[in-house]
Amino acid sequence: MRPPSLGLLVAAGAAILLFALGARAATVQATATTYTDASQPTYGDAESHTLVPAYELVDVTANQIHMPWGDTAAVVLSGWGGVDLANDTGTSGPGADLNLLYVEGGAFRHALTFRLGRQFVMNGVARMTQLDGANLQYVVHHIGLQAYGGAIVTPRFAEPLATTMAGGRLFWNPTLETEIGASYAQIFDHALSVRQEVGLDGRAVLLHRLVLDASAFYDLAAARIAEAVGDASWRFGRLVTLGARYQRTAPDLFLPPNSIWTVFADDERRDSVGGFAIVTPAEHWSIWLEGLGILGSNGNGFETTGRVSWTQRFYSIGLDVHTLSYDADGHLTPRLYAVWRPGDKLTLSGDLEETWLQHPMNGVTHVFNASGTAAWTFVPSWQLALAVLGGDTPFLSQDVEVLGRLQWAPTFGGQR
Amino acid sequence: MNARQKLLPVVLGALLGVACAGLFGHVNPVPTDHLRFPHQKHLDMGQACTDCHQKISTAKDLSQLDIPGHDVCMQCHDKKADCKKCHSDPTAAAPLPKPHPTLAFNHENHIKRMNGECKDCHQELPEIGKPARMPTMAACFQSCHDGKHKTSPHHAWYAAGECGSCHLNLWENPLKPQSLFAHQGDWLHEHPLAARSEGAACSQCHPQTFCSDCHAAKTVAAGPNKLQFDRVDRQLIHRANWLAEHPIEANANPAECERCHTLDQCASCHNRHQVGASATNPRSPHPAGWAFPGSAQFHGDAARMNITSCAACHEHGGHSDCVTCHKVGGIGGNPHPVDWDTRHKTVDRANPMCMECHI
Repeated sequence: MRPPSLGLLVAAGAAILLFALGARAATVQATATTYTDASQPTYGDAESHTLVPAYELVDVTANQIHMPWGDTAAVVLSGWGGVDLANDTGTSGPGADLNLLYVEGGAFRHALTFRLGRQFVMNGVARMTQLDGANLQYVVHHIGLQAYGGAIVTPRFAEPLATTMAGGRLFWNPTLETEIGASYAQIFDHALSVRQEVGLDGRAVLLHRLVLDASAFYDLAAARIAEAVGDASWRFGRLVTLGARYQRTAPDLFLPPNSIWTVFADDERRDSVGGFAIVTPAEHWSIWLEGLGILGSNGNGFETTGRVSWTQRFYSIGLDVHTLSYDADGHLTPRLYAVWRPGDKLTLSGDLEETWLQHPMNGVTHVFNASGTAAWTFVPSWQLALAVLGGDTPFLSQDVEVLGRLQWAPTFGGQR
Repeated sequence: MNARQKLLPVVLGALLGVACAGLFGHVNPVPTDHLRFPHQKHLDMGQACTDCHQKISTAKDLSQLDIPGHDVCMQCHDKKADCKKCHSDPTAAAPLPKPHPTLAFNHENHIKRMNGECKDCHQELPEIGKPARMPTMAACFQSCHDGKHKTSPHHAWYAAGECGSCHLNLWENPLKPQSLFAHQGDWLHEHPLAARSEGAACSQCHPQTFCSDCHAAKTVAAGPNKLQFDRVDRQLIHRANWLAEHPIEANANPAECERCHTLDQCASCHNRHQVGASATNPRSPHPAGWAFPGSAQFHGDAARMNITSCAACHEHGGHSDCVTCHKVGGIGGNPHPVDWDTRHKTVDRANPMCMECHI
């Protein structure tokens, strides 16, 4: 287990400093959530166990902190701690961790922006990497340069397979809806370079109706495409949107780059191609359907997904259907949900989910789960929610869970 | 107890402290009283908007909301009027909360340019039992701010993505994008593609605390399907039946799992359910013929084509049980694919993975 990283300590220090500097000028949004999930699962040992973890989760965003040089800054924190109220499984339960703790701000009228601390880096080939580090961006005349680096966040109680990451992205964003970028990222396991990727990405809107999204990431070490995605959709007024989608991934390149398994893998490839339709046939109604054919290294198949929903002020009802058939296996899963809002303060909801498995799993071909939930906003900013979930799975012969959540979400300040 | 374990109670205590401070230190008053005002009835009697909203013509931002007070009403109404005519619960009547504007809007400028015609923007006024419907952004853009007026910078702001010029804090904005960034259809699977190029646009509305609910898979307390259990209308990837579906889904798209989950997470759950790599595993996932070359179910062929499914259970460091056989001089023979030499011409001495065998 690792001690807190340097980046995290620097961010914590900077956060305290900025809170002290700008607390009076900031708008502060906070969420404190107390959450518990009581269940009696049956694991592979065929014995019933009792699990009751309890968590406290806190999110705080302090923004509009006015800095001496005229720009604004923000401090963002997301963290949690938990204990086991009951746990007879012999395994360690909840602990505590930080999802985010960063300071962000700008200079030169926000032409230069920075983010320091535990954060996500999301653009280009960085995908959505959680880092303890720094992220700088400078934009002038719609041309920008982003550079980032830091320690890759490792799961609690796990040994890191990659320790640090550095990269950057050059982009041009002539309009809000159009941006083209070229990016590079390199990952290290201590001093050993274990992954190098370059990427191109872009989004463009043409004729106010045609939306084009695409990205392609090339692994320099493996000398092949790690991931490529293309998506095009056309809006026919407000009623219909039709689109097409293509995706290629190399699954073995998503393994930890210094895993022994990369020695065994052949050049794996998975392609999927298909189309989708989004239809709004009448007020309150929404329909979307999607179908994809899959061509993979170890089999072929198809996937279809759809939703029909009716939503208005007091009620929402929806039906989801998902089917997957691949490599002589598959499942069909319909799901029905309903929400009833009898007043401003109370929301009742429930869902039923059924899965038919093509091949038996532990002798089971039919899986069913259901839930019922009540959420009550008893005073402004305070909400209490309770739920009961139950059903069958191939792994837990019968499972019933009771979930509870008390949430307080105030906003302070707001003077401008 | 190491340093991190010692930190645990401190962090936990601090988080609980913040929560308790919230619980006992700040409870907002309950607004059981609501104002009931029939706008149309007053307009039908010939009243102008500014007869009641007397200061709105000089309001420079939305913190000056100019809701009329008793003194304005009493200019026409009898002082002995029934309080319940306007207050739903007069016993709980309290000063109106201070406005918390999320939009930069200057009424003074707009009223001058519209020659006092409020209804050009406020086409649907609040009535008793019917909440206000505020002007939409689309209505602003389609009417006056259509980009044809050189003095109107709104289209330039929109094109440049400078949402903050109007929206003081989109994070608090209850509105949702309607057109090109509308989160419709299979947004769950589409949004990563948009975010790769337009991350800045995403962050206009969503702080990273929103992203971390799902994407902080390495540090988060519980998945979004658990923490957001009441949002049955949301597209969440791990609904209740996911446990049954995941072997099929993972086989069809293993990279999708690898984006968020580490192999340790797979192994811990698989071992708990005794479907892991344990030698005493009573629920071995491997079919007959798995160990025999020439069998249709031979593990070597499967591993070449779907190595991630192996990695879900088996140790992927130098202690992997596969290395026991597949090493130099081992009975499993050379583990490398046929084109390995073209991709890796030399043994990388700095890579401990290579040095497991190539000493």
